[in-house]
Amino acid sequence: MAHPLNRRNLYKGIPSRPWLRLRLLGENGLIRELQLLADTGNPFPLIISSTNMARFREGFSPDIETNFGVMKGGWIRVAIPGLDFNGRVLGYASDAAVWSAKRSHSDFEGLIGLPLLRKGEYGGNARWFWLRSLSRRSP
Amino acid sequence: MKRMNAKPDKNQVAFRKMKATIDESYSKGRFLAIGGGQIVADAASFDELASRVRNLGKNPKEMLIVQAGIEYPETGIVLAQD
Repeated sequence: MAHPLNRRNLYKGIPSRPWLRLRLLGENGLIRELQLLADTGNPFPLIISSTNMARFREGFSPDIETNFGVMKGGWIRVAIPGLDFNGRVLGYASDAAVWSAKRSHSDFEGLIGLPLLRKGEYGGNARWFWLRSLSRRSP
Repeated sequence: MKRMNAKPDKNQVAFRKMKATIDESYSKGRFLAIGGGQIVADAASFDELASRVRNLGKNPKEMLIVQAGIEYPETGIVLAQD
């Protein structure tokens, strides 16, 4: 039986980029849904703006120095719509990285990287990029 | 790679100094809260830790929270973007 796709989005932006929706979960039921550039070459789970980090951070985590300068670390609770994942991840705040993503499309409010993409199965073709729940048939 | 020019955060500096001791003293994966340059609480889960920090009259949002035995690289490359 074919495994249902949970997330499938047309590439968008100039140049075309894969992207996904992710929800930041805050206190008192606060939820913010972001469109994030999906970057399989990015070793960080989540990069968001300093504003979103300040609003949703549940605690600081160690900072890291990168080619975008120092990224401030924080524990963020997230959910990925359609994927069986809802939990805390190590996120990083970098307005420079967010601005770089926005150069492709102004809707992008950050990057989702490989550690989070690996929570499911990701893939793409000429038109679409998708993320779906782990298949029982996964190797 | 750009260099950090702001004054380093006290808790961040303390964590890097204490990292080896933390890894020797606590079981892998245990959560620790660092505030004022010192370990203020530890617990088996994030939620339990946050509760303990609140019980001390402190705000977990203002703590540096780490897990023992987990590597936190000091430098990295956001590969596909620049």
